[in-house]
Amino acid sequence: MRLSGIGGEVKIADIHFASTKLAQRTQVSCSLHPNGRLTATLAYKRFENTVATLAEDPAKRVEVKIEARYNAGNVSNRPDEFVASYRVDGGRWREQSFINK
Amino acid sequence: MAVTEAQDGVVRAVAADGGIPNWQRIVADVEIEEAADGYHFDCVSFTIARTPDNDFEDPQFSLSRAARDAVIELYKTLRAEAGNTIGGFTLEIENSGTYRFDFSYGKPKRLNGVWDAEKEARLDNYLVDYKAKLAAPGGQAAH
Repeated sequence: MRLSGIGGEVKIADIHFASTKLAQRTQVSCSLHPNGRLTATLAYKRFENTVATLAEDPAKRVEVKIEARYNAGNVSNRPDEFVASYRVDGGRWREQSFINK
Repeated sequence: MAVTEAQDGVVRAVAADGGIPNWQRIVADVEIEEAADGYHFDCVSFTIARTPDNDFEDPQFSLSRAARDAVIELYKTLRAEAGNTIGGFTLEIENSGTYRFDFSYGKPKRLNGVWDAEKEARLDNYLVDYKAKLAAPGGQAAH
């Protein structure tokens, strides 16, 4: 997945989950910097797989959020990393991080 | 680097991330796996702290890059020194300065799409259990 030039609230994972018919069960929200990019990596693909596997269980409510993070001193529009989080049935958030290479 | 030194490095970094006023215990459940593009992590971390009304709260926090780098060092050190490849650990740090690592071996579960309901429920309900142990006769929230 690659996002570019998108601002404000973005239903990022709907792009992925719509094709797997999981969108209705997967509440997704994320905020990206207007010029934020999320480039597909093995790590991000793994995150998608983790969440998709969880969401296959109709008894589970899976929520996902993705944040762009900037290191101190980064004045560019390009995030240094993305943190993708998920939780099941309102539990604690589990986080997976991806360096924006 | 010795294993204890690598462990201390993780503890210092995690405590720096999760240390908030009146904290009692910091908990980090970390999964790690080496992959073609680097190290993959799945983490849940939170701090148990006293509130002004003498109750407890358990806000979550993120592991910093420094903490994840320290975990990578520990992973490498354990493999080099002890021949063990860890899949992750649960770390509990007490405000007294003591800490405990509970290592797991083999493929990490969450990173591989396996939801260990019992373990995950324990993490989700950690504060309830912590308070129950404190309230029990003898009153210590043991590990």
